[in-house]
Amino acid sequence: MLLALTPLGKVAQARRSWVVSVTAYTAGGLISGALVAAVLGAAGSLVGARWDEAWAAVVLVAVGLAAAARELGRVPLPLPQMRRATRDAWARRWGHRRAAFAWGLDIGSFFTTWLTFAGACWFVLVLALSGDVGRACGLMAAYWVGRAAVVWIAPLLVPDAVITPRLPVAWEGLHRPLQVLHGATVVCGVAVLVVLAA
Amino acid sequence: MAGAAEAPLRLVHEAPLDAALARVRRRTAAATAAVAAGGVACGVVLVAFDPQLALLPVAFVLGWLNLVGL
Repeated sequence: MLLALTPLGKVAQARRSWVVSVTAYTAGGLISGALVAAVLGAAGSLVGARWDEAWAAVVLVAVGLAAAARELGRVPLPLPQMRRATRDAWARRWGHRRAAFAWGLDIGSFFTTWLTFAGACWFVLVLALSGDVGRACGLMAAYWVGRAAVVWIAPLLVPDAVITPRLPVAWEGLHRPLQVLHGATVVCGVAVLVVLAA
Repeated sequence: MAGAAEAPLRLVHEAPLDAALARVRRRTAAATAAVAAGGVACGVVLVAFDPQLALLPVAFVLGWLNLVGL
């Protein structure tokens, strides 16, 4: 997806198409993410979950610390996920704009593609145990905007369109630092939840 | 013989490529550091204002850090 869209942002004649495509991608992810978050928030509200409930706080702190330990200390905990990436071939079938919307819907659905790091599981629990559809949708929107921001700035990160297919190679060396940062971010999130529950 | 003749050509092509990849890595690391620093700053301000809102920058940074999985 990123490899298909980024070159458009580097070619002056295709810049408009890139803006429309990335906007479609962002909108698609916001829509599917909101649906998933609404279901999670509604499910949490059915069981009376709230972040400041003692049992919910204990679950969130325990799962958050386990996820952080997995990423910071490389503790070999399994990460339940669908081992699947979105389909680059959609661009050939539907064109970039429609494909970008479909990529957004697909990746924004959260569970249908690779989760990358364990904090994603903790984040899903945070949404569900918020017990509130609005809060869950707000958090999912912030998550998706962060995820889509990478696609928006990707043309600034690559010096030219030719290098785009090598992006995964370039980022390979960043995997461990990003993993550590991910673990640290989950710890920060756990700290916020402790403040909320106190 | 063929291998010996091709080796210098491969190096000539790969040197600029390696430099470009290193530049992409540096730019990505700098952007990620800026996102993380911004997230911490927003989180600190928001936790004093309303702790529930402090989860928003946490969510944003977690979303950003998926970039290696894109």
